[in-house]
Amino acid sequence: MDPIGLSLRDWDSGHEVERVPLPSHALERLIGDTHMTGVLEERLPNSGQALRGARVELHEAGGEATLEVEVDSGAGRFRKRFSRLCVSDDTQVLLAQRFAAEAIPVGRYRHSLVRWGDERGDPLACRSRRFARTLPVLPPISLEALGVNPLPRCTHPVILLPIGQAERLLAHARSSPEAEVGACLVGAPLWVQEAIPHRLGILVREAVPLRHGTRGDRAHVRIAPEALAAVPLDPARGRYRAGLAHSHVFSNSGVDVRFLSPEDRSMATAFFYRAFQIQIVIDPSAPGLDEALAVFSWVHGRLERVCLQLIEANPDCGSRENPT
Amino acid sequence: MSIAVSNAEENSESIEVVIRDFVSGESVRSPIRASWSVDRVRQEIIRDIELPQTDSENRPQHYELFVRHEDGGRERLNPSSRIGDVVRRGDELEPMPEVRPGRARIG
Repeated sequence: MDPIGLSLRDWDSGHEVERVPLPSHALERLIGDTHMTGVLEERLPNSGQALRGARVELHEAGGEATLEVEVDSGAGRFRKRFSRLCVSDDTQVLLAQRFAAEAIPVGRYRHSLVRWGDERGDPLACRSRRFARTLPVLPPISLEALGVNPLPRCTHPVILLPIGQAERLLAHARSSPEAEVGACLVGAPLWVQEAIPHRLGILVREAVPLRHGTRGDRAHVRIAPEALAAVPLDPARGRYRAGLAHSHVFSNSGVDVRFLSPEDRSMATAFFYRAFQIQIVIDPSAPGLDEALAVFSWVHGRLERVCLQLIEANPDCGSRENPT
Repeated sequence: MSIAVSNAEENSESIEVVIRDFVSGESVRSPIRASWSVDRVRQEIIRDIELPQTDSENRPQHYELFVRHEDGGRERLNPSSRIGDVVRRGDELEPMPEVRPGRARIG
């Protein structure tokens, strides 16, 4: 059992109302983030080989508790420190669950990282895992060669979306203005060659509209397992499951609907938490691509809205068979 | 990885399959009991690999079990089927989630 949990405190009084364990997928997300950071900083090999081990440690010395994650690639180790903000999305999901269960009153809460379980236990949480922890090999990509100008200076991954795929997403959303629709994003992580602040590139190769029992209404879209299973993936050719896109339908509301709801965060934290996976929210009533699409990516373990690079071409990269 | 079974079931026939993780795409080999139903195997896999069991509204998280045979054929398994009747040695099992994004609220 992992000794990491969350303390939920009433926003106004500061009184602790509950402690809950942090779900295992949250820790796996931070381990994956640390692994990716280590590779991008050239402290870990870009080899695609599985990690030998990972360790998550809670630091409680003075002020807010933080998490230190250490990963061991066999050829080197890398550490990264995370603040409590790295589990903000998980906290929102947990709060939504507690509200639904009427376990705590609906309201505003602060969260902090705490030790969970046996207080006498080893503070070092060595995370064993059934599956190998790997990252795809990151092929190099030149943003200048793709026509990205000026080069981005943001501190988040570079999201590359071919205009044709963006138009396909918007058309799919507009085909159903009264009911939400979804699409699976197929793509690959890349290593940006230019010296920019964040060198992880995420290329969306294809936006695959989800059907096969997928049903939407004005409030949500139910994406059936069959629909996800039907999306063709091919990791050897740089076709990984890179995230989901879905529309938010609010006619003439005057409100920007391009945000992530608790349900969206629940789905993203549970099933789309790899460092190169993103979420796209579409407003089908928006006049153009720039206004219609909002992209969210993982930044230091947290889902943040990020900017998007629309590109003319769909580059043939991200493939082990066709490295650039 | 092995899915826990009771002592009484240890001597019953088992089938070695590959369990694939939806998120990472990685896989592990594991024996499963041929006499179990698809639904029981699905529940055991979900528990064993620590997949989320509730969604943000505290409803049970729904999964369906898919099999990919060694000849490339893929199908969704009927929860009431007996595993031994629908899965062969070396087949790949993957629990696929139902996801429900949306429910955007104003304010």
